Amino acid sequence: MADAAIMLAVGLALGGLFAVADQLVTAGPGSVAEPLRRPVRLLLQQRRTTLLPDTLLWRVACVAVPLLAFGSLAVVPVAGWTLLSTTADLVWFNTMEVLLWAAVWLAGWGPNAVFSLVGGYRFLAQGLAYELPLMFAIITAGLAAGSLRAIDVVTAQAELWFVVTMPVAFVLFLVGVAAFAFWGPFAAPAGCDIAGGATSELSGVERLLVDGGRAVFLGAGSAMAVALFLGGGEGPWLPGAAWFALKTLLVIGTLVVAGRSIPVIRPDRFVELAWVVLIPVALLQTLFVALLVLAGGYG
Amino acid sequence: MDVRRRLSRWALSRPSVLVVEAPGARAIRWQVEDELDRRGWTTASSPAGADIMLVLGEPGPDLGTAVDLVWSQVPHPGHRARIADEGRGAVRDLLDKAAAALVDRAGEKPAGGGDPQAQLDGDGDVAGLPMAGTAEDRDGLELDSLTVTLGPVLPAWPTGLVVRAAMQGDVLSGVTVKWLDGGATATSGHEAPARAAAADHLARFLEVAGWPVAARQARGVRSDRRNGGRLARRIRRSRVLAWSVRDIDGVLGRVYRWCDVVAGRGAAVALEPRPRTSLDALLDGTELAAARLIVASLDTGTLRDAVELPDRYGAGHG
Repeated sequence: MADAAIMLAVGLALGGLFAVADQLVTAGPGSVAEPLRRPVRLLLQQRRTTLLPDTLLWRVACVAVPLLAFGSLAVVPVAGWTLLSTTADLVWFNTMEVLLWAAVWLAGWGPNAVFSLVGGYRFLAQGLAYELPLMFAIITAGLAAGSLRAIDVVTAQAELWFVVTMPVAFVLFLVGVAAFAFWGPFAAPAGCDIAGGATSELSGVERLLVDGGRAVFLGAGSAMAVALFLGGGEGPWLPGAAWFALKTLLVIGTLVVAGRSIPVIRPDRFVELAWVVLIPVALLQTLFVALLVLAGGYG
Repeated sequence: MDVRRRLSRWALSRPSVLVVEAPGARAIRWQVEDELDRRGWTTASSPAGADIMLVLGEPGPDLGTAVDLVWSQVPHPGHRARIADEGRGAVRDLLDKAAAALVDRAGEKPAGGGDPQAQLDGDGDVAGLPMAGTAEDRDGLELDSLTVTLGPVLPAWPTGLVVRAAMQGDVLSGVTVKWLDGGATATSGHEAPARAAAADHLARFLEVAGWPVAARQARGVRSDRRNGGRLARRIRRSRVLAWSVRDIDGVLGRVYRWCDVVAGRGAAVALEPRPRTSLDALLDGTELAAARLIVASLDTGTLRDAVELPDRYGAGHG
């Protein structure tokens, strides 16, 4: 119970950090309190309904987004500690994010509104683009560590951080994180051109659940990037927790600055890029690491 | 209770605002948007996400009906306000009052009228709504077909424009366009420097293209707070933008022309080529995202001409 509470706090902190960084870049220093203020504002707001909605599936989808976000966080080694540690952590992380396909599509389907539905479908199209590169990126780290347990992946980097031998996988992982949270350049499913798409009909607590869930996903994804590629809490002088926090901040900062410096990539273009460039590059990265493993490069 | 009120005052001190611009209110919109940027208030992209609905100018009867419908979709505690006069002081006053009214409304019980099923009328198949049917798509495949309406109230959308089309997947066909209320446009009666007008066009295009940081920068250029040359360089250098929109007819060229105007090179009006095709033909067969980008890339005058132009190429254009 105490462990679950810690994870909840860690998730909110990570999501909050991401949201603060995002506000700093998009709206300037005056808006740093917004990630605190907005949830209260949404809790004061009435839940709105639409004409003939599929209420059950819509509500289920909205609750699912934060649940899946915390579900994925459960296997992320935060400063060497995880809520769950299984023999297939990496698969678990990936599963949570695959289930998000259903959640976002249902969130788009539920309200019985055109733009919302278009947003849901855009997310599926985007999924076709980011999913395979992301899977290969995750599995490459597991391959090098010889284990799918997240803690083992961190331990395996005691000598050398994986980002050194798998920089491509690191970048593809971050692209995947931004894409499954449909944030920044991958925000087409919630695009301004379709009035907010999958989120266009959300108000009150439902908007809080979905947007909050996305923020936690982004924070958890950044922390996972640190664990898989940047050696987790590894580092001289400072305690592991401090290193972990520093690295996570760095990843969040980089993601926000890079993500906000480019416009939305339309899903159809992204699919083209993914299948022509990203997937072949990801396969080459995996092949390279596999050969290194065979040559005994990871000890 | 006092704690609750204080908390709601704090939470609602930066509300999310849905801006609805009536024809002829462009000058007011510029001032409102500048003030929203200055205060760090966000703009809502749909009524469900809005705390305040702000109507600028005097909507005609048709737009007025649409505005009422949109207002019915703003959730409690939502506040509705209208401003018809320019002036920074007036805008500031209005926003302060709106935020205060919102806090008062948050203390009240929501009125029971929020059920959209109550507004049902018409004689469609299900609850007065037409069902989505199937029809042949552009490749001759039998696909679901849904009738969609773009406008008249959408973020960064030309005031009063209504586009109706059948949508299959996200491809539009059978497009018809019209202007509400006899076609008065946003720019009616507002003369602005070419540079500011171009910056405004860029800001709205960049919102539609999903680049909010650059859109904010463009709004800064519009009110002379930011350097136009820097914005133009940023947009022209963006390979992602070019790659993302280059397959959409003429969009990039028009955006780059605005960049030139913003940077102080080239005069706006003379460079804008008259449209060859009517707007409905231009949008027919495009995807929803592309249609939005095309409309956002046309300036209001060109758009008006394009709507009035007879369709020379017939329905088969595309």
